[in-house]
Amino acid sequence: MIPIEHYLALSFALFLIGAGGALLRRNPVIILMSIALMLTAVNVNLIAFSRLWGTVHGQLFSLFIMADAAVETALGLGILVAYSRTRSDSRESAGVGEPTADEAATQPSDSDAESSEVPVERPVL
Amino acid sequence: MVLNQIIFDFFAAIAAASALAMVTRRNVLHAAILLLATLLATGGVFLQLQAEYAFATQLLLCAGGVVLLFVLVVMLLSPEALRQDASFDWKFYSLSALALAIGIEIAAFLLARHDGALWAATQGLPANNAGAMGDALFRDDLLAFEFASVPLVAAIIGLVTFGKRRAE
Repeated sequence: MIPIEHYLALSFALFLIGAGGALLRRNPVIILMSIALMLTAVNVNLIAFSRLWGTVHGQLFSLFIMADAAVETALGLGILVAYSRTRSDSRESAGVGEPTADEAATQPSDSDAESSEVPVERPVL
Repeated sequence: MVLNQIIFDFFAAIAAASALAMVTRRNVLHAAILLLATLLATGGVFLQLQAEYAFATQLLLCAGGVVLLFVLVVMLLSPEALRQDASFDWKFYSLSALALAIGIEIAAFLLARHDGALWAATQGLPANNAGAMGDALFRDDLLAFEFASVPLVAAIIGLVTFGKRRAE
């Protein structure tokens, strides 16, 4: 049989890579993926020890962790989408985005100059 | 038991390599595909540990649902999300190398102290693993299983709240 240290080493490597990605990358989607990776590493640990001790409780915990990982990913991505949409909405209401028909008819050159001049702040992705 | 070791090494190598490539990848869509590979390889490790229920859940929930969610959001946010990540610099390489060195040291420490008698995973679970899992879920730990639905409901409510456009 494979000694438990091999599973611990795999889990440790996955957790380390996930923690490094979550701490060092600045792309929020990659950060969420790294957090999912860390939770998977915890699952490897739990299931390996569940097999070692011959009980199913480790698998039970891993099931809960998988559910929480799905919840966390869904919420994080939902926040991300809502954030980017709010940013684009505020840009439109501030007149930075696409000009309306009236604005385009009255002063097209001014609107174009403004839209090219003002730096569009987007979330760092 | 050499075959067992070979299977474990195969899946563990795929999982670790895909995870490393996922973290260092600039394209978010490639990172999502590599996350899928990592989760599938981890599912293989679960199957090798005779955790069939966890394998199925990993396949359906994590590899199916979560990666699909990532890909959908990347498509929704494109082209901003597909833009190259400018924050990828030398600090990432140096700190990753440091963290990897510490990790290798700890892993070597763990492997050097390998006793064999105490830690070998010899006990194992009964063959009817999913049945025991069902007993635990729906009889012994039913309350915990029910409470696992609370964060799911909270997430649904939160996502509906986020998804609503504010009334002008």
